[in-house]
Amino acid sequence: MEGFEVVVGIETHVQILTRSKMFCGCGADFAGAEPNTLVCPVCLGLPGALPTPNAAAIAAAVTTGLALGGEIRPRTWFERKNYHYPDLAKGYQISQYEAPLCTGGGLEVVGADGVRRTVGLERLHLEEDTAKLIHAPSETLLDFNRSGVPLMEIVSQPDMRSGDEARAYLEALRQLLRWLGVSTGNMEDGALRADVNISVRRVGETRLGTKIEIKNLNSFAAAKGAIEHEAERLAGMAERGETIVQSTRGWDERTRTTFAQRTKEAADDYRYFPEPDLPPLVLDAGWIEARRAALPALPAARRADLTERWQLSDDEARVLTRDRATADYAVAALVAAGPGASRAVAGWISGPLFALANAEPALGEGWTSKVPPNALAELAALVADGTLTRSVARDVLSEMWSTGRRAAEIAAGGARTQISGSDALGAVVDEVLAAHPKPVADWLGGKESASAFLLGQVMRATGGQANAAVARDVLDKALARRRA
Amino acid sequence: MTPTAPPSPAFDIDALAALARLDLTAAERERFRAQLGDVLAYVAQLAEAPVGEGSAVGQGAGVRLRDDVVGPSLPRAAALANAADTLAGYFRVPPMRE
Repeated sequence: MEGFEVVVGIETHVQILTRSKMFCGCGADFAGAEPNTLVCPVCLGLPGALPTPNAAAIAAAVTTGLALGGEIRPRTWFERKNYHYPDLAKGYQISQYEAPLCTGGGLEVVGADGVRRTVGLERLHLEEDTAKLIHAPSETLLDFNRSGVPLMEIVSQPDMRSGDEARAYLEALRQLLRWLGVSTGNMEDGALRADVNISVRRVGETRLGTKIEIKNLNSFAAAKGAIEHEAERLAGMAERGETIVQSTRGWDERTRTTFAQRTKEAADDYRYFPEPDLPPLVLDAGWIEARRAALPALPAARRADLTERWQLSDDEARVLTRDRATADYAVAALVAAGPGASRAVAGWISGPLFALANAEPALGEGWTSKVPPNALAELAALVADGTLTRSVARDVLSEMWSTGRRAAEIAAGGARTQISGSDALGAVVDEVLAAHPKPVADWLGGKESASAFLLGQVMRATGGQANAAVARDVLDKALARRRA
Repeated sequence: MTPTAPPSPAFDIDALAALARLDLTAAERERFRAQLGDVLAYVAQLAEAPVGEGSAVGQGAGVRLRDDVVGPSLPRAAALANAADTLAGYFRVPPMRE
């Protein structure tokens, strides 16, 4: 790769989260459905059946285009993309070609180097998903349940320069799609699929090299791995003076290599033409503006709010805006805790609270109601004023999580509050010293580190509730008395 | 065809035959090349008609949209009724490779 630069553009296919399909009323939630039970004359392409576009799918695509900073075309149309393959019963896919719903825009990504870049977008258009094929050596089986599910195709500019950056782009895109509620974004279910265009050129060269397309990458790791492998392969070919032929390749997850699929001598001839069964799609300017006004604050704006208003670090802000529910929760907790407590509250959320949520993945976003934001703020306050040690507060949080009770109530109910009285701790220290004569003798013999062991025993004896600073002081005094 | 028809747009009869999965003899190639050339020349002539400004899909209020409501689907037996072949609720076709 020395002396070469990799250039990457990504086309993503995104299933839009609607109840019904793009052009008919069949249910779009095909996961788990028996094959060919969510089909009708429209999505089976039976003669004479006429498509009617789904208003919610169009609204979702417009919302996504606006969130990406693109320009919505107020008057557009659907076109037929003709090709012969059994995943399309009609012999064509209803798509958009000449006049995509949205053009331009961009997505901010943070690369592995921590640098922020904007990946430009070429277009976003609407189309329909195809049937699912199951290949066997002697036959191919077709399930049309997925056929006609609404899709957005989002095409980036060739603005990425590494596998890491491509991965960051896909992660940012998925975050945005989920943020807007327009797609599950689940790559493992095929709700977000990536085709990667990749070429290499010598550093300093401005023309693009011959591009290779790697289709159907179904995880972030696959996208990154395929790009890194292919970049090395192409750079090696260029180095040896071999001719790179424009072609489509697949990614073998097992061997972590790409393999040849087909060679493209010319652009595919899809014979696009306007869909005669559908009049143009005309969007009212006022309706588009209403959708723009209804956009939620987006991840980048939320991150900026956390770093500027709440003085959190970039990393903390990124973690707390991983999804919209988390961002909403974090801000509510920060507001409840007030200024000055923001770092502590951020730490409680991204540490212990995320750990509890991760242990119960079935909760999904429901974890945010297990410990209400103001209850978390109360817990943080009890730690800040010394009522609870951090380790005890962790246990209290677990109990809040499982019982729904508040921190003060739990702390008052059991002997959980911090032991900071030197009398109470004095008794514990005396017991510890009596039980461990050897370390005491070591300390008296000059081995300073023995006191750390003894302090550990004091903390252990109090179940972590001892105020560590007071305990250290009491222990030091007790040891000093023995020396004297 | 009038003698004044504009020249036919260029096309590759072999590429079109391949796309249409047609195996043409040399004589058929020539015959269809001529016929298709005439058709395209005629369409090119239509493009010269003075129809005024307009998009590829004309004017008008636009397509009627559908609310996102799930309606009934076909019973599977009905969906598969006219299939050439089926297996376990699937349509079955000869083995396909991309």
